[in-house]
Order: sequence, then structure tokens, then C-alpha cells
Amino acid sequence: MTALRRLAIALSLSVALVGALLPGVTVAAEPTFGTPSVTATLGEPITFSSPVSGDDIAAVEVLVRLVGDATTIVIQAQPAQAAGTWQATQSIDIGTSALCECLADGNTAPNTHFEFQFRVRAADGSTSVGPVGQGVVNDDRFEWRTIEQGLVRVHWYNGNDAFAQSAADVANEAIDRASELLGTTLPQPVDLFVYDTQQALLEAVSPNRENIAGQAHQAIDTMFVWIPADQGADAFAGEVVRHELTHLVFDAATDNPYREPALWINEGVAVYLSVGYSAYYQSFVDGAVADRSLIPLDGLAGLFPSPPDQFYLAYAEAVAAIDFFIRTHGEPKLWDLVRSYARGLTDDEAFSATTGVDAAAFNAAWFASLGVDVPAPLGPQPGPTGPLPPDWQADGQTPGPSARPGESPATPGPSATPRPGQPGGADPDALTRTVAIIGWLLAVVVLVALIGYLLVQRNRARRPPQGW
Amino acid sequence: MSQPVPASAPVWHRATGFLAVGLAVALLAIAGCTPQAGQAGQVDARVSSAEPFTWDPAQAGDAGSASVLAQVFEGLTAFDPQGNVQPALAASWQVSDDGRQITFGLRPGLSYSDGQPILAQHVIDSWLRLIDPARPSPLASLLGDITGAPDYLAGRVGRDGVGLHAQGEGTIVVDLRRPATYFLAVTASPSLGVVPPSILGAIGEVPPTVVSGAYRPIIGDAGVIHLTGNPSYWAGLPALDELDLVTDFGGRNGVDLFSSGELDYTGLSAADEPWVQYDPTLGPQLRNTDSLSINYYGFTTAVAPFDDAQVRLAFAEAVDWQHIVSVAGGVPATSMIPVGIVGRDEQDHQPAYDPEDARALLAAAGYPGGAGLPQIVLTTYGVGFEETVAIELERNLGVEVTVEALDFQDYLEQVGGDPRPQIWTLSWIADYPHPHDFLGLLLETGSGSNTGRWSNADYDALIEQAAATADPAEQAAIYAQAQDILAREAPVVPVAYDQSFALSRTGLLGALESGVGFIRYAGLDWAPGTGR
Repeated sequence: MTALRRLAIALSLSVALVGALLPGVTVAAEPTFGTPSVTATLGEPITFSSPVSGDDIAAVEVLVRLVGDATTIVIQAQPAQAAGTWQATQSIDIGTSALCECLADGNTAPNTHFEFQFRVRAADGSTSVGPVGQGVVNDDRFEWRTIEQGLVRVHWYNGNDAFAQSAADVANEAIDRASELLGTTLPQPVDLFVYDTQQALLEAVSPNRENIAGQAHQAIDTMFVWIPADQGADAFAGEVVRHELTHLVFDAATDNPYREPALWINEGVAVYLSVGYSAYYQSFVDGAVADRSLIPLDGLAGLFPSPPDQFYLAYAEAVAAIDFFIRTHGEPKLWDLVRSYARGLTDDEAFSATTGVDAAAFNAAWFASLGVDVPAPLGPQPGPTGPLPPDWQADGQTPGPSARPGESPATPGPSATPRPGQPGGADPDALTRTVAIIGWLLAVVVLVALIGYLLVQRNRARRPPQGW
Repeated sequence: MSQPVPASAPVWHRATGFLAVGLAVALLAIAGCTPQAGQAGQVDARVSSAEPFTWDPAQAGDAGSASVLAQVFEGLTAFDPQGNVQPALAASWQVSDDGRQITFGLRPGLSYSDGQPILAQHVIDSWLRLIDPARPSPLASLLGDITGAPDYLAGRVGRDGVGLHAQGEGTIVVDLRRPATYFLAVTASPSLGVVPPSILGAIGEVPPTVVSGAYRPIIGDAGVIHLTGNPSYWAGLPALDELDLVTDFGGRNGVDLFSSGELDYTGLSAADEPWVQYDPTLGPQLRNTDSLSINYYGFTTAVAPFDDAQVRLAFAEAVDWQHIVSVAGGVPATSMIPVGIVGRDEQDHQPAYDPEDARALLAAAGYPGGAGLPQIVLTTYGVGFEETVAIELERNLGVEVTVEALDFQDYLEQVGGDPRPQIWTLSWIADYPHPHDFLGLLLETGSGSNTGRWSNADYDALIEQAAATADPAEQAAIYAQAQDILAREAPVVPVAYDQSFALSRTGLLGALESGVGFIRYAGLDWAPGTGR
């Protein structure tokens, strides 16, 4: 209970006492809350509802928290059609655990567990909260079966028990391997949802995207994969599961409130532990070395490139760089590097602490080992200027006080304003100043005329006049 | 996270959900949350854009709305691509010797898009809408330097008490209560755009049918605002007179839309910038678009416990602001004045990170170890460093802080409403490139943009003094003194400066953000041999 709330209640009690003595004085009652409910349907915003009543309701809000997340999302509720009921709708972005819908493309992902409660704001700003409700977004298009083994709960709907068992085995092996190397394990079991068609997966997690076959989300300790039932946990499916689970262990090992490691390290480790620096990936790197299109590692720190060829190259470079790191410094150093990120270090700090050289030096050494120079960035570049109205001063100076545009090359900023005036009294320098101003204005007129002429010539050279 | 697989196997794609740095979240929020792009028709250019919350310049208080309204309603002056003030509807102006009166002369023959004349009284009527006591603008403080404006806003005088006078049809006289050196730049603010009297009855939710600016907006396909050139525009029909502002990407990435030719200009996520800088096609089209802006946290100082400067300073000193920003790849702030503003000094005006002193301050304020404090809520709009800040406050002060995230529009209403959040965060882009836009508008007593309602007489006196001086060195020294007070009183904590990027099609001329957060589309053109 907040101090404000306590104060409000104390005042209410005081007023109530006075009210008992003074007929006609009414007292606002505490709001009352009914049982809150929620509709969480896959593909639609979540709808929260609750009966709320009271005399002093300035606003009604819904507080929503992802289970395990610190941030409370606050949504404004509105009166619903049913009298006395308030309602709010919202999608939850599990990527940021905040309000933006961009990462989930307008969907709240399946298996998103959340708590919620309604809050009333009174006119004086004091608040009252109702009972806590719980909800989860279910993908109820399928009859899910579940097995739990070790740190994995496998949810699947097509295929036999052996199919799910093999997926669980692969998943636990992957967790064990990554945990051993990274020195940590998952804090709690993860959910592995297996879809047997890509379409079903896309509709669940990313309806506006193409070519997605798996996603891992640390925020909800869940991974979604597409594995046709007839493939079982064969080499390909096993690779997928290992890759995604490595991400979850990696995230647990590097978790800190300040930043995430460069993406190439995260993906490189995931590929390294799931399939290694295979001939497939080597072919991408070899090709990029041959045509000098290798992307420096600082270019792979954020998102990977969109164009498909560069996208696959990015993964190949990531695992190639990890492979180079291990060949140079040994595998134990790699895991030291990964774990150092848990201290909230930058890439440079983490590399320097682990290897004695920063990330740029590591990149340079890797490029040198491949016989290529590190390219310079091609951007950002300054943008070209466009057409300006003819009476805009080409040098872009700020017109100052006492200046008429086109008459004065006034000084930008504060110096353009005259000092506070000295009204009254003779000014012995007036004549000198007048002469100077006339000379100055003449010079300016000539300058402006020249600039205007040049501008006109330039515009003529570019394109027909457009009415400037 | 996901992985690619050989082409013979099912095709994989990168997963969403990864963000390299916290700052990227904001950019993705802008780019990715915007709605679906319409079909790219026969227009001169297509640019990504925010969708305005309102079409009323007097009611807009956010940069996204301003970026659109600036194309639609013209002011007396305008910013050129370098952020300098240039004449727009005004052809000329004169400043009195004491700096307290500015006389603007309108260009002859000005008219709205419907051919009706633009008159001096329309300018005054438009400006008065910002300080209408019945419905003040979120940026009413822009006009705080005009004589009588604060009194009119407070309902103490009528319209006639405001120092705005029309002389005939083409002259506007502005009386200033102090020789505000920056007022010419104020008149370039999109908030001060001139609104045609014929649309005043219907302005707000729907696009205006008559405009004073370069373009008339038309709602087109879903997620697209079409701008058609205004032939009556004072500078003539824009070179690119048919534009699409794409406000909805439909879940697609701005880079993909740019690469496919569906956009000619788009903001770029900080998470995409690293690879784009090396891309042989996109790299040369990458632009740095840092705005003159400051991300800062603030306290509502009218209510306990943050009415106590010791408590505010304790909270400010308990967080290693420089570290949390720099480690996330951002640009740490050292003062409330962004880099690039004339008059900014290089001193570090941010409260020093000193957990020990912070704990001592909190104890001295009567809250040892946080005991006795009410529940502390940090309210945000879902971006920034809030969770990190909460962790550091708990670790260094022993204070548990609840982080509440609201939708941006709801957030703006809450920080502008009553009561206000205890701790809040804002990003402020310059309305005009001058220290007063940050130190005066955001922190002067009574300013409508003073979210925390902080008040300090010594500080106010310094701001007044700075506004009255013409000497740059003297003004900078005064602002430095004012910032020393901020560092001691900690009503706000400057946190980070802007670091933004965009993709601009080769050949697109004039796509330059002036530092105040938007491009002047009337200044766009295609280089010969380029274009759609």
C-alpha cells in the first residue's frame, strides 16, 4: 500500500467520522473488484476484463507481468458493454517484455504466461488494486501431448511417443553439453513445441515472416521448432534442437542487465556446438574470401544481414571465427570469454580480459589468417543537399536581430542578439557605427547578389525551375 | 534465435527477438511497430514516417507528429537542412534595439492551398491556440517569452493581454518579456505553424483539407499518408510533389522495404546499422541522422519523497549512468544540452556515480537503507535502461523500484497529467537549437514542459539572465552555473544523446534531418538521372 493510499484512507476515515456528525456529507467508498478474467487466443490481442465499481474512479488500468519478468506493463482499460465491467486489450512483445508488438509481429507467442490485475486510480491519484489473475496464450489448434524429461518438456501433436522421446533426448544432451562448456545450466525446464509443418509454426510465432523454422525465446523459456514427424530427431532435426537450446544456455550463461554479447558470438557458439565448422559453412567463407566480401565481425554484432547470401555468410563467418578463436586460444578460453559477458562487459572488454587484445584486433588476426584485409565501412555518408528557396542564404546562417533576410550575414546563436539597450543619452560613436554599417550592408548586398547568381546557375544546371 | 540450413533442407531464417543494445529497442519500436505499407504507386518518393497522434499543431507534443505537421502547416520561419533559421511565411523581420520586440513582415500574396489569403491575424490566432487556457498545447511554453502569454495561459488576462499584434494584413508585432535571443528559431517550430481559419472547427483527428505548408495530406491505403504538393505554397510547388509517407510496415523490416525499392528513405535500427555499413549497396546510402536530443530521467519534485533534493541526488548518484549507456553502445550524456548546440560546454554536469555518498544522502533525508520510503515506481514507455536502473538502485541504495511501462500515447498523458509519476523518462528533441530549449523549457519554474514541476529561484534567475544577454561567452558561463544547480539539485538526470541512422536512396537530394528531428520534404529532389 502506498503512502498516498494510506493517506487517502486516513482522510477517508476522518471524513467518515465528520460525516457521521454532519448529515449530508458523503464519502467516496473504496472501489470494489470482481474476479478478473482474460481471453488469450493465439493470433489475437489479449483481452482482460473485470467488474469494477466505485464512486471515485478517474481511470482503470490493467497491470500485466510476464511470469519472471520485472517490468509491469500498464494498459488503459475502458468501460465494456456490460455495465460495471472494464476491459483492455493488448499484445505482449516477449522480445522486449514491453508494449511494442514488432518482434512478435502483433502476436503474443504461445506459451506466454502472465499475471494481471486491475488498478483503479482515484481523482486524487491514489490507487487500489484488485485480485491477481493468471493467463497463458495457448496454441489450441492442436491436441498437444507432453512429456517431461530432465530440463525439457516436449510438446508435440503428430508422431508417436518415440518421436517425442528422441527429441527430448537430443535436447537434454544439448543442454548437458552446453552447460558443461559454458559453466551454467538452465535455471528451469524449457518448453519445446514441435510443429510438423512450417505453416503451423509460422502461424504460431511469426505470421508475417517467411522461412522461419525455429525460434528460441529466453523470456518465456520456450523454443518452437518445425520437425516433420517422419524425420524424428534425425541429424537435421537434432541440429535444430541443439542449436536453439544452445542459445538458451548461452543466454543463461551471459545474462546481465547491461547488454548482450555480439550476435556473431552467440550464433557462432550455437553453430559450433550443434554442427561445428562444417564443410558447408567453410564453402561460404571460402567464397567470401575469394571475392573479398567477408564482413568484419563488428558488422555482425547486431542483427545479421537481410539479403539471403549475406545472411548465410554471417552464420558461416560466426562459426568460422569461433573455430579460429579455439585454434588460436584454445576451447577453455572461449568459454571464459562467453562467461565474461555475464559481468556486463563490452565486446572489447570481454576480448581484452580473456585474450589480451580487443575485438578489433581479434578480427584483424582472423582476416589476416585468411589472407584478406579488413575493409573500411562504406557508410555512413553525408547526404547531398537539395534545392533551397532562392532567398535562403546558401551558407545557412541564422538571421539575427536587426537583420533582414538577404541583407545581413547574421551570426548564429546568441551573438545575434544585441546587448540590452542603453536607451536615452547621446552616443558618441553613432557616426562611426553608421558609416561602418553602411559599408557592411553594401558588402553584404554584393555578397548576396553573387550567391544568388550562383544558386540560380546551379539550379538551372540541375533541373528546370520548380517555382522556388 | 535460429539457424540457417542447407538449401536442400527446409529453409530457415533468422529469428526475431535479438537486440544487441537497449537503444535498438526504441528504433525497432518505431520501424517495426508501424503499420503495413501500401502499394508503391506512381509517386515521386516514398519515405517512412511516424503516424501523427493529432493533425492539430497546437495539440501535438511529440516529435513524430511534428515531423508530419511541419510539411503541412508553415511557420514564419523554417529550419534549413543545417538547422539554421530561414525565412518562410515571413519575408523579413526587425528586432528592436532592446531585443524585446520583433516585427515580422509576411511575404506578399501569401495564400492557403484553397487560395484564401494568409493574413497576419491568422498567425496570431494560430499561436494563441497554443496558450489557450481552455486547451493548452503540451508545448505552450514555447511562447512563454511573449509578454502576457503566461498570464493568458493562466487565465489572468484575455487575448488582448498577450503581446501579439497584427498591423494590417501583413505585419505581426511580437512583444517579448525578455530579449529572447532564440525567438526567431522558436517561430520555426511546427507547433507554431499557421492554421487556416476555415478548418479550425474540424482540426485534430482528420487530415486538414486546407494547408499553409508545402503539402496537403490525404489518407491513402492502409498505413500510408499521401502528400500532394500545394501549388500555393510560398516557395512554389515542391520539386517532389507527390509523396507517400509509409507509417505501417506490416511486420516487415525497413531495410527490406528499402532494398526492394518500396521505400526511398527510412530510419534504420541501430541493430541493423553494423552490417549495413559494410554492405556494398546499402553502405553508401547509409546516413547518420543524430538529432539534437537528450534522453533523461526526472523526478516529480512536488511530492514526497522526491521533493527532497537529497533523495533525488541519492537516486541520481546510485546509478552509473555513463556505464549503462556506453556498455550498451550509446552515447552517454554529460549535460542536458546535446552536442551540436551552440553554447554547450564540455563540462560534465551529470551527478557523479557515488553509491556511498548516495546512501549517506538517503540516510540524511530520513530514509536509511531506503527504510521509510513509499513504494517507488519508475514509469516508462517501454524503452531505455529502466530495468538496469532499477537493479542498480536496489543494489546501491537498497530501494526496490517497480518499473511500469505504458503505451507512448498513454505515457505522454500520464507525465503531462496529474498526479505525475514519481520517476519518469523522456527524450526531448530540440524545437530550436539553443540551450534555452533544454534548460529553459524543461526546467524553468512554471514551464508547461517542466514535467517534474521543479522550481528553484536561483536557477530561474540564471535562465532569465542568460536569455537577456547577447554575449555568447557570458551566456555559456551563465548556463554552466545553471547546470551546476541541476547537478546539485538533480531534478533531472541527463542520460544519453541520440545516435540515429537512416537509409537514403542514391540520388535523393535534400533528405537531411536538421537536428530537430525531421526532413523538410519541400527541399527534396532527385539528382538528374535518378528517381522512381
